[in-house]
Amino acid sequence: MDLNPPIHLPDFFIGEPAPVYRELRKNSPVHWTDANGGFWGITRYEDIKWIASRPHLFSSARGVLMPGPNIDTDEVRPMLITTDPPRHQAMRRIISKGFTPRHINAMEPGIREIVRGALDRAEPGVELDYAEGIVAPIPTRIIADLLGAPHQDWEQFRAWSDASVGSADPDITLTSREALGILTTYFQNLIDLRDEVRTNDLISILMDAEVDGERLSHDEVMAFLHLLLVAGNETTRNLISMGTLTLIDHPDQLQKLIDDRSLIPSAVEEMLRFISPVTHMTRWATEDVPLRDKVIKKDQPVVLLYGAANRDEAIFGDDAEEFDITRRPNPHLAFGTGQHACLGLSLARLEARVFFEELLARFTRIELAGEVLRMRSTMVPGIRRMHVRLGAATTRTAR
Amino acid sequence: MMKIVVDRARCTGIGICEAIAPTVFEVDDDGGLVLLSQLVPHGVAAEVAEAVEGCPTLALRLEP
Ligand code: SF4
Repeated sequence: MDLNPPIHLPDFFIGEPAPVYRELRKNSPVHWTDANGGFWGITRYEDIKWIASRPHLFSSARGVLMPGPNIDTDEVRPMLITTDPPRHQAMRRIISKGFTPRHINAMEPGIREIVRGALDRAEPGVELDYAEGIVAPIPTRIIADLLGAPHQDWEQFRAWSDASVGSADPDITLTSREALGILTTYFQNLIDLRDEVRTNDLISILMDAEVDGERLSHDEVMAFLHLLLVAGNETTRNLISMGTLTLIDHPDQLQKLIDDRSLIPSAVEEMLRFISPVTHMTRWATEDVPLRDKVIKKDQPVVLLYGAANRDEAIFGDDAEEFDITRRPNPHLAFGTGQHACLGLSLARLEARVFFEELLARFTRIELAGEVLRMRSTMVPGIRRMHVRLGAATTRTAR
Repeated sequence: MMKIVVDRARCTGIGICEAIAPTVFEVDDDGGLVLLSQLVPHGVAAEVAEAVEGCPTLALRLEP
């Protein structure tokens, strides 16, 4: 096999990365790619865990996206995700307040309502764009609601968020910089409103937050808001759309889930493992670090390929490449691991669980009706368009 | 009986432990982790072990 896979290109991720990952885990687990200034790709589960739990050796401060032509590592915005300890700990605790299991569980009724509203758009037997029409608006609304953005603005978020992640998708006309500018102005308005009246939403929590006795800087608040919007949006959308597609591709598993909906939480975990909606995060070595038969040099980027770790046979066994909704235990790394493990993981799990509960309560036939169009991104290569026909197995089409 | 030890310097308070073993772990409104029991209670040992294992920051430990 060609051991110089184009890991730096979106096409790699929207193609069939699994066989390449298998090969790399086996023969080149710490793998150098020359493109884009060069980076190490890490594919074994244990290695990724080891790196992610050593933030002093592997920093996030120079950015977490893999090196690429549009990525500027000298001008990284000060976000939670790009902050190293000890400041990271303090900042993380503040924002965690908004994401504790109790806090998130309290959102369930609101989420269910948003999901039901979205599913109301689907008529039995009628083909529709499932990814764009049903799934995409859901996480955006939920995160916008969490941030405290007015409902009438929800739809706009989606376009801005899509554009601001800087995906190489030709359908997106706003540049990432333009989208960031629009979002900044928008968030500034929300902040100004809260300067007058505080509410109990996330923006207010951030404005009152102190680290080492100091308020967060304006840039930090801004970056937080942007991070939350983007992180809460694409990723969950991808999980639900790709999760549905994976069920369609595995009819036996879909049937099992229809027959026993109590399997939904474990099916969601398996979707997370199998799809790994976020393909990677990057770290930068702060000193020379030997790893297996290689030495990662100071200042070199290390790309943690979660999708590869999540198929690691050393952890998941001989059936690691299979989709099994009853898999247990399932210690996947889809949310990353270490200090920077995804803050929104309880929320993402809840959204996906409620979505599949509501979907399968209404529809037990899910069929693909056309081609699937993927998002050209190296980080969250989701689904842009996916036409689907939904139907209830028991009800015959009238007349 | 095993004792639960929390490394406060590591814990980020996101409550994965609470999601797995809510009778033992709870993240309070300030984002701090509260142990509802210092010792592993009867009947939930498996959950607690899973929570310890599942903590992404390796902040939890069991001690004899
Ligand atoms: S899972 Fe770990 S980091 Fe998260 S609250 Fe529990 S102990 Fe703290």
